[in-house]
Amino acid sequence: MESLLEVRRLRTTFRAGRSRHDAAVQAVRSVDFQLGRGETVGVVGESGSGKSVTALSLVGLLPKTALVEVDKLTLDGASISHLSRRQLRDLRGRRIAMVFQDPMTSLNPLMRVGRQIDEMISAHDRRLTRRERKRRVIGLLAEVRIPEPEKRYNSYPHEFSGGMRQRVMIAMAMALRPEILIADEPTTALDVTIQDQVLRLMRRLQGESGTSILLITHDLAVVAGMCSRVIVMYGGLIMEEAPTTSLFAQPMHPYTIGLLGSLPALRQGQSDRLDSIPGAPPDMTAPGDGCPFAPRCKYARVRCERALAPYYAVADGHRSRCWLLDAAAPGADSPFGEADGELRRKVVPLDD
Amino acid sequence: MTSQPPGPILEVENLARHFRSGERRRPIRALDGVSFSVNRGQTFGLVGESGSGKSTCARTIVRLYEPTAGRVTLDGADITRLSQRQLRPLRRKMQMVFQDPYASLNGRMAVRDLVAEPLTVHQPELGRAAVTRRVKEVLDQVGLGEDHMLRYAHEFSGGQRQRIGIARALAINPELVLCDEPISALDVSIQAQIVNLLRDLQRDLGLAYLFIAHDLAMVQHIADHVGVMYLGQLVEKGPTDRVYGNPSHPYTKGLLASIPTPDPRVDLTDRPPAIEGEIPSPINPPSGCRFRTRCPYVRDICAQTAPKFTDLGDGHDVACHLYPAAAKQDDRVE
Amino acid sequence: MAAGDTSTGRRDAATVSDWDLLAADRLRAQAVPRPGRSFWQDVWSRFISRRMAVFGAVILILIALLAVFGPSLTGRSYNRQESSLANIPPVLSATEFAGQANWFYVNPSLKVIEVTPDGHLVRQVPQVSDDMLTKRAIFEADGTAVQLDYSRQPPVLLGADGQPGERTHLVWNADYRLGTDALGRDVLTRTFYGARISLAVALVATLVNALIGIIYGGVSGYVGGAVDTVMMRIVDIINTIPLALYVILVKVVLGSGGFSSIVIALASVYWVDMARVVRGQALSLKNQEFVLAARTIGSPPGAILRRHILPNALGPIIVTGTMLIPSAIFIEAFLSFIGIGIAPPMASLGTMANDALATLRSSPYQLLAPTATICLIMFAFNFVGDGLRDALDPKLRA
Repeated sequence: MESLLEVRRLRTTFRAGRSRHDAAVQAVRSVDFQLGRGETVGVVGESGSGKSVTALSLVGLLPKTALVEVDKLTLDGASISHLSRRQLRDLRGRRIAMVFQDPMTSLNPLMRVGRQIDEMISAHDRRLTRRERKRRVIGLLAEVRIPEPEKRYNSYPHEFSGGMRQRVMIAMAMALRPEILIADEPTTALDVTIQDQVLRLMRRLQGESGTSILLITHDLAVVAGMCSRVIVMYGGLIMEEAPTTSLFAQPMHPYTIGLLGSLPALRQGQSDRLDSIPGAPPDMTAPGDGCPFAPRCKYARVRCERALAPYYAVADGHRSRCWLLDAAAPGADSPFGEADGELRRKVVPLDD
Repeated sequence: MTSQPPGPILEVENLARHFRSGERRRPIRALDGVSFSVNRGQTFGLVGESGSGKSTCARTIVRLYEPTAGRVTLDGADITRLSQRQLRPLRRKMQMVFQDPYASLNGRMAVRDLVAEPLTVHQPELGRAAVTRRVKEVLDQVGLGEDHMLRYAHEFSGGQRQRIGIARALAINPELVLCDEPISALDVSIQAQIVNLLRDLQRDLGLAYLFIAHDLAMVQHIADHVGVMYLGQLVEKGPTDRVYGNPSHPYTKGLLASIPTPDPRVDLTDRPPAIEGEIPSPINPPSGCRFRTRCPYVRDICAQTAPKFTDLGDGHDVACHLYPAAAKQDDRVE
Repeated sequence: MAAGDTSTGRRDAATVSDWDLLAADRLRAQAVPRPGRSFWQDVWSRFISRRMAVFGAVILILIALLAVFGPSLTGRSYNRQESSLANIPPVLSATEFAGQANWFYVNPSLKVIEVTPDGHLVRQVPQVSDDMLTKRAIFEADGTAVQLDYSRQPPVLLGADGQPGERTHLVWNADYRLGTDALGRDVLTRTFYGARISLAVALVATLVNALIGIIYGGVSGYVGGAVDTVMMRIVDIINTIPLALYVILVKVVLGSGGFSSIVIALASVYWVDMARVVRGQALSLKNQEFVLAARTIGSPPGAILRRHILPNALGPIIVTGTMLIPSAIFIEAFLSFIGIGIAPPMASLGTMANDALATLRSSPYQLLAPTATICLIMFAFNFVGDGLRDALDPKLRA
């Protein structure tokens, strides 16, 4: 697949407060990935994993307290890492659009919904007349299945339900047929029935426009239904990346294994314990040298605490940052089950 | 769990709670005639979309809201008409765990004082040392240590805060704990910790839970009985394996179908959309069956009369016109 | 678990221990949180990091100390009148005459004062005659006469021989550091007393806000409903009547005036703003889950108010308090200034300013002392208030 967005060694640090007591928060420690044209990639992680900060870093939407460094950031082959704020603003919306978790805070409560979408279009395309824009906005509202779009054009955001607001946000994001849609927990605040509707809507619009989607979520089930590839983040690092099918079939990182075990599956009459991951998310002010997951990992070795593992290529497009994949790691007590010995023979460490 | 059902610790009959709406005179029927019971040592799960009245139900049961109609019986005693002062001694039997682990703990109080609060109210005779001992004991039960006692809530992670909230609820040995979305604000791996903890506590202490959640998979995992709410009313209730194994109300079916499966081989768009539309306003609910505006099986009768509960066997009740009301007349009132 | 350095550890120079399972104590199943700072420690460190706020606090402490101990340092009283030494400024322009040990100073009311070279006031020199025609007055000091030629502006002191003095000196007034007022009272001492009154008013305002405002607002907001409506209507009614009117009413009722009427007027109405703030806080806090939790526990309403609502509303309460106190001080000063506040001879910064108006042209220093003091107090309170607001609620900072 042709690579549309390429990120190499993205690091984002927040200065926390003015006082010297507050250490800097290393929200993203090192992230690299690619997004292909028309592809849907899921970024999964818990709060504090750095998944949202990664997305916001890409489009320059972080506050000034954030320091974003990146070795390589290209959109369609051209570097976008040194764009000015103005150029970034032009890029956002036109080529990269975003949808956030809370549609209420993304909409101006004092402005009619139609006008807000109109403003978004006119900011990037000044050739259209007012009437043409209005027709376009109503068309967009209809496209995201807002009932009575002509009437709704003049409604205020508070007159919409959460699901409808998120549809409006999607309409706005897709208005200019962007190449990439970054959706940051777009359905987390919604009920399952509405989530179902919104995900379907995103899927349909993607089919029509060929937009690539970077779907950031904590919900592995959403990823399973939507994405072809998954990136699992923890402590500001990518722990594992794999095609969705192989990640669910053969997770190759203890964190991913734990996450999957924490999900209660809808099965018949089950009453067994969930495999929870003990402990709490890491402290991002002092990440230490080792694997951020080591303190919570029941397979952790002394080595895991001493140094960060490199990526190991498990299979085509499947990489994992875990020392237990190393050729030198003992075979006993492996988290990877029976497949371990056979798999590990094929594992190759990658250059970081 | 279909062994000999023990007696109920909590019985809710036709419970309703209406709120005054802003400008118009019509009330918001947030909770509108709900009946179920929670057995000792068991878990009753309450599921439904936001706006279905789940939380209102829990808050009306503990009398944070005064019920508009209906009856709540706690351990055989009708608590609906008691004054707050009369109710106070009975609150020992019934405690609550809240959704937001950040908002539910007073940030100005140390963990010891947070957990000790129910003790100071209900066992004022206890000395300081005895209170501290008991706090230590419950903190230990929820997996926290003595060294956490003098810390403040903001120093803890979400999961740890929720443990503190559970410890506070347990301090006075309640028989029933109402869990109002106790895990929905937590991360996936932490959710599993808390659910496991709640199950362990139930096993060790014989607690009964009213477990409210919108995560249907989690409710299936923890609940013995489950009730599905829609727009202030129950539409289906029964033993968990019956309701999940044989969902009968179109709403339950749709709700279950909208949960994404954690299986990449199942594509989202392979099946038809589960439920169209959104939950209507409780100020002006649809006539007849409240679900009719979104129901794929809607018929004429649905707009005219509200369906009564039909027993499908084994205590599995469904309120839908698809199931002829040949069975018993239920406790439904108009 | 096997120590697995058997054969495969070629690429990594893995030691035996490197592949050991991580010891249990390194796994933090339920990590003890890092020793965080409590809320008040945070507030304190934010407060002392703000220079202006600390400066304001130091000024306030200084003023309070002077208000309490100042009068005993000067050794004078606020009402002791020394009419012979009226209108003497803090800095004197004294004329020296040959053969005289002491110097002479002419005050704005054309009295001649004998001054020692180190600035002590000896006495008012008695006048023996006044020639209206030549505009010369003769004063007799220790046998030698001094003439005052007030035909010129400014008046000039001449020796007995009619010659001007040897030279004139600027000396600091060593007896009355800030001079005396038109009745010959010590301005410094009176300023101390004025500050005392101002701080007493501040104290009253604080107490009233704390005792009535916080409780009234807390109850109104927490109980809500009809109780809230009635209580807030009362507040509205109180708020529509200006404070000056209350003071006058109280004065009429009491038949006497002064400090007590201001205190009573403040005490009866000055808590309404605080009540409003606390009510707003209580309204929003009472639906927070930790308050709901306390209610399900069965905590009685009083305990909930005391333990949960008020501690969490303390930030806005303190901020409101530090904004209300300077305005109470100003109200007292203003009422005294326009003559319906503190009654003479008691010294208030307001009455002092009013007294100084009469002699403003000739003795502007009399106005300077009380106004500068009140400015200082107000500034200091505002700085402290700003600092507290930022320290208590860092989000409010722009």
